[in-house]
Amino acid sequence: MRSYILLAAARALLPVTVLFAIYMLLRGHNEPGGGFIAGLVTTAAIIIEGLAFGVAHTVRRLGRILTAFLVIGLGLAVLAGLIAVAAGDPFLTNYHWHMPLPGDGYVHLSTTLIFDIGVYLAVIASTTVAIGVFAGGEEETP
Amino acid sequence: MMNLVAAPVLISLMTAVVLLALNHRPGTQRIVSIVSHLLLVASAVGLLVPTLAGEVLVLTLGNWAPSVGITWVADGLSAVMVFFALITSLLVLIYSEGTFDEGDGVRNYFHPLHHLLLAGVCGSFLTGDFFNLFVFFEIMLLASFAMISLGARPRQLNLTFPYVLVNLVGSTLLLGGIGAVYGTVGTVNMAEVSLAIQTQELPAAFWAGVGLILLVFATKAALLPLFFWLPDAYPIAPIAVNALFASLLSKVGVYTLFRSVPLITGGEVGVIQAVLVVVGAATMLIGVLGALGRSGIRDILSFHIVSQVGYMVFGLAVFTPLAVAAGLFYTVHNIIVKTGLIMAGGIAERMGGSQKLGVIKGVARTHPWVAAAFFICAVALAGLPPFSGFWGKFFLAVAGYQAGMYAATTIAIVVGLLTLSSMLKIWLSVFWGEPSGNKEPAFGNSKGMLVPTLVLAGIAVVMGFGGGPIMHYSMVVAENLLAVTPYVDGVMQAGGISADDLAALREGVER
Amino acid sequence: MLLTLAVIIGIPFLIGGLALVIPRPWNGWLALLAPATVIALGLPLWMEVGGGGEILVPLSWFPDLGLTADLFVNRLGAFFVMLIGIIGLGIVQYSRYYLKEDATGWFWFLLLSFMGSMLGIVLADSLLLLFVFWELTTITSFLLIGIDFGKEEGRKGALQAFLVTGVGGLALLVGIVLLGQLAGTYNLTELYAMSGEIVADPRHTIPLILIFLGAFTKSAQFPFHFWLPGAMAAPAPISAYLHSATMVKAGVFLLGRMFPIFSEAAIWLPTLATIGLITFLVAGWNAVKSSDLKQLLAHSTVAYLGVLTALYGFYARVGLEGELVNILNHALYKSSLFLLIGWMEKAMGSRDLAILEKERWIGREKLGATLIGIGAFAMIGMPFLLGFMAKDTFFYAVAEGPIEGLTLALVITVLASTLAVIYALKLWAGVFFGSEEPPTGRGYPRNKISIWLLVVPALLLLPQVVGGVIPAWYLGQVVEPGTTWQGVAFWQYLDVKLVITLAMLVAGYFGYRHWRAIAATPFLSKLPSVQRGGEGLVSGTLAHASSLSRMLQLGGHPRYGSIILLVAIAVVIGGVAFSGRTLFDHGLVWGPNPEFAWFPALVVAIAAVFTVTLRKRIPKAVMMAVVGYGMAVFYVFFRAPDLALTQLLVETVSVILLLLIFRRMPELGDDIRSVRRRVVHGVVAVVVGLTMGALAWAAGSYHVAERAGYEQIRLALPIAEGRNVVNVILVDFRGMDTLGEIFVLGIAAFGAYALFRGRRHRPAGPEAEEVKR
Repeated sequence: MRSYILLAAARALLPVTVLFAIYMLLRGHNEPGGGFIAGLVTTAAIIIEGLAFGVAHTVRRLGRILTAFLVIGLGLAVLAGLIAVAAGDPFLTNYHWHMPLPGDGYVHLSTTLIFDIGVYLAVIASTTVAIGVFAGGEEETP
Repeated sequence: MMNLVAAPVLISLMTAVVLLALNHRPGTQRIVSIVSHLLLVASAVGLLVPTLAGEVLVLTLGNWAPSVGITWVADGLSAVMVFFALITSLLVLIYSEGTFDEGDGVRNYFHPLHHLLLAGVCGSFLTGDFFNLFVFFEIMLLASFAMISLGARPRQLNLTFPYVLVNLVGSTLLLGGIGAVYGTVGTVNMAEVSLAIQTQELPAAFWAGVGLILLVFATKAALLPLFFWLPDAYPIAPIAVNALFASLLSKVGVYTLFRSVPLITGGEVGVIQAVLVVVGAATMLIGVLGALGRSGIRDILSFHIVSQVGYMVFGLAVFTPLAVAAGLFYTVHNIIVKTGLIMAGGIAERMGGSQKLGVIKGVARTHPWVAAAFFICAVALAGLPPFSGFWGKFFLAVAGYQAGMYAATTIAIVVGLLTLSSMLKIWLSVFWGEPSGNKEPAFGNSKGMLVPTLVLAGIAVVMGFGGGPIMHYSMVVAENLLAVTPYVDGVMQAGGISADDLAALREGVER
Repeated sequence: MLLTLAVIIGIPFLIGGLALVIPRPWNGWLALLAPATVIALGLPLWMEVGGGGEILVPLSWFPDLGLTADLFVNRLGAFFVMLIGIIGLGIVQYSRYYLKEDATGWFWFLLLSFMGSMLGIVLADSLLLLFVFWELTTITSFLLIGIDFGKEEGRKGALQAFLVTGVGGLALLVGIVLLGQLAGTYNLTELYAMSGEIVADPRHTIPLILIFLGAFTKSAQFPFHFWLPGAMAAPAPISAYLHSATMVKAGVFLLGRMFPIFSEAAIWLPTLATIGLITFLVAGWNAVKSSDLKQLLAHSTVAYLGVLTALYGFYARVGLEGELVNILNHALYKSSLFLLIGWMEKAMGSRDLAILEKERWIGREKLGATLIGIGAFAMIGMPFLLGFMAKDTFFYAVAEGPIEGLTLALVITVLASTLAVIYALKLWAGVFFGSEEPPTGRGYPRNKISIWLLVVPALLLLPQVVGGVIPAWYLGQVVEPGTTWQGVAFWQYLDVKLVITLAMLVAGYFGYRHWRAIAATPFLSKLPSVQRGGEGLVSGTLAHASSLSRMLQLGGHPRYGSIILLVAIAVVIGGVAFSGRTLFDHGLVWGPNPEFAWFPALVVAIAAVFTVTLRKRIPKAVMMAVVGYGMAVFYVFFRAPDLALTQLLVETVSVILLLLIFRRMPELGDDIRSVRRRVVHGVVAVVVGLTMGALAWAAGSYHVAERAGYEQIRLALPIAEGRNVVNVILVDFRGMDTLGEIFVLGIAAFGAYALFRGRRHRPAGPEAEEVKR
């Protein structure tokens, strides 16, 4: 019993949600948001996709990417801290750069952002893998 | 250079990440795992050298002052624990290769989890922040949950469930305790909390929170009456996991007690002392009696962990430099010897196919070196000279009688004999007798298992003969620990950015 | 001097270690080098201090704690060095021919380690060092007794010996610790200097009793006398060396070391005389009853150890004259006899008197008969043997001078000495003077038995004869140089002692003729022994331990959970009591308190009750999510949008996860707990909830002037460059926590994956059925 409306909605929802999550991630330092929340939002989107197309199917489709996300996410978070070590500062010391844009504005780049991206990826990967493990297995394929 | 304090944790975390990526290449995974473990040991030596000279190394993570961010601290106690934890876990790692059956799918998961567990353990030793300690407890715990159920036999999952349950309840209580502490003193930095205790009148909720924190530490250490999660869960875990847990996990609990009790009491023990003496003595006795009643190699050895934790805590409870030094010596010795015993027993188990007593006999004839390693560790565990355990027991006895704690000290002595009896129970049924059962491990490579086991037995011998210098450093560590001020001052003078620097820094920041 | 002593103690260990890696038979040759070196280095020492004087070699050990490993040589010590060396040389040579291929590297390692440990005991000044070597002899002895561990009897004897001497070792340790605390030093020479003060302090009694316990267990004194015969499962050379010549004398040696400190103590003489003489009598009786000749020798060893113990008691009155003669006498004849029994087993194929008594071996084994005869006569204390002098000094000491009247001690001594005559005759006359011609098939052929099995005991018996024939020179020059030896030879004592001796001989002979009848009498056969008591204690402890062990782990996780939660409540109450205040003495106001807060609170509470009471999984999970969403409302009250958002997302994701899991799980059955248990669990849950709630409230409502959080708010924008303080805390101020937590998440996922894969990959086995489910 599968709703084609749900299928269509899910297919449309995933990219939109991911975009929204990335927005939440980037603005996190100043407004509500951040890597953790963004990660959970993305997970929620993946779950909805999973509910529509079968969790096992979704996780299998994303399997490689998710493992990579876990490794990259955790690695990125540690590396963000190690930048400071390379510079001779205590681990996790953060640096901020302001790249001027044409006009009046500027882009705020920082090592905290790298850290937060690591958090984002790790959260997506671990929650989804866990769900995949518990929901997957010999489930029927769509 | 203070980043060295975080090095053991960072190296093991990065190694774990790399090993996760290499999950489908067991050969490379193994090499990376062992090579980076050597690096870990090197970093531990780097911490050990300055701290044993009395230095307190403080790392203000993110360059934030202790009042703002998280501080990591390596003093003698932390460095010693890190060093011995890493030495034994390296040997377990080498040993572990022989303990897995071909194609049981456990091996590939063991290496990453091993390094994650180490990150949790070392982080717990090095952090100077109660909440951060909670986080590293969680790392350790999650890794241990995964490791203890490796292989996932139904009986195994059944018996490890109490382990998971008790530790989750413990985590919740710990969080509650830390919350109460933060709510009432406004900081979770251990040194700042210690200072606050010495300078302020603190409310009831604070002390209740401290009580909960100590309770959870006691649970991790497996003290009476909170030990029951340990004796069933450990023997059912894979051999290498059992060895690793025996050497590391309950010692983290012991470490946290050694770390926090002086900080909390500021040198005046009072009520806590009475509680610790009673609990320590009771734990020793109940633990050894429980062990005597068991009938499997690793069943007996695992129950013994409980008993020996009682010794360590008793050393802390007496609260004189000599007693604390003896307790520390005993802890270090126990890390080495307990691991050696489980590893030697594990070889016999691999040969016999079961850890139950009576399945295999006469190992002393077929594998004399395995027997020698087991025997040395066994008599060392019972506290017989000239092996490592003797010094811990001897100085504990001296300090205990000096402090007038006759009953508890005598219990400690008698428990030594009961320990010996239970070790002989294993020795007589497994190592002596006419050989029977399998002569060679059913699977795996016994050489790779034997050498690390012998190294541990060798350390037990060296620690026995070289008791002098080790006791000397134990005294240095113990005196600094009980003095409290070196640690607290070290942290408070660590620098880093705090709100006080705001005005001075404002000009520099506004660009 | 340090080097000399270090080499003496160290060389046996070193060569023992080498013997492990050098193949047979070379390691046997090498082993000879150890005692030879000890003798070569020990002889000058003996020359130097034999006539008096002492050497103290300071050696630092635990400098911070004022503990040394000082070494100390005096007459007694140097004498023992020579004894250990000379008998050790004989034992090594004998073992090479007796054990042949059974003399493995491990055997040499253990034997020589034992030798080194003995040397350590006798050369230690520090009692701590002495104790270390003391326990090392216990350990090596355990392994040596059980060297033939295929045999049940060997295992049992070894275990018994280990446990009994282990108990004594612990007593000794506590005794040393307490003595050290009393006197402020562990060093013998310093203790000697302050013996007056120590004895004057009434606290000396407990450490002295504990040290006695150590000595008595090691030297198998009554009531610990049972372990030594059990230890005789060891091969002959080990019995000869450990259990007659050296290790069991360590207890006696310890008494010798303690003598200068405690000889004036009130309990010294009575305790030692009583225990020693009782042992002499009881063990003598056991020896009379023994049919196995090795057991006979074991009991007679215990008996002589009783003599030596008693002697140290009497020395407090009469002085130390004859101290060494008695030790030497016993060591020489008893170790030779043990070795000869080893020979006898090979040559005659038996050591059981029930068999040998009938046979007439004198015709075939003249040399053996002569040697065993010398040993047996030394045991009796016949003239022209060293044994005579020994017995004479013993009588002198017991009577506290020339015999003038009958005392109880003297009566016991005479009685026990008569028993000694009986068992000495059993050993010699019993074996060699039967009536039947011995069979030829039993035992090894003559050419398979090395002559060394007789030469070694012969050499060890030589001093018995030399000392007996020219006692004045031998005793005055060799054994106790510098002392003028009073008792020289038997003809100088034509007094009451001669009468007693003759009476003993006559009575002993008749006793020997009828020993089976005597042994069968019920008299003395039910002597109190701690053996049965000890075995009862061990088995009782084991039985109780196993039921305790089962009991401790009963109950499963509901009970474990209850225990930890109840302890938590106790701890909270304890903490409050410790502070001496109440939880809410600062008031109850906590954070913003909008009027409608009761509504989400009520929802949370109701949902929590449903979470617990509902009996279907999915509604339970939904109710749990309601609790979580309700919590999010409170975050909104506290103006924490990030936390509220996180809470909502976490609840959503976890409820989905739970639903996915529950889909595959069977429904919960009925609650099978009894009503009583349900009530108990409910009460525990409610009390814990209330306690933790009260604690949270009390902590939350407490006002703190300066918090880490306030400082973080001030620093967030200017320095960390973020307006969202929560996020700045997560990624900057407390980035390490976040780093840790994402690893926690990662491990959880990886662990779940590993668990899942592990189940899948497992090979089919007995549990495969369960896996499929």
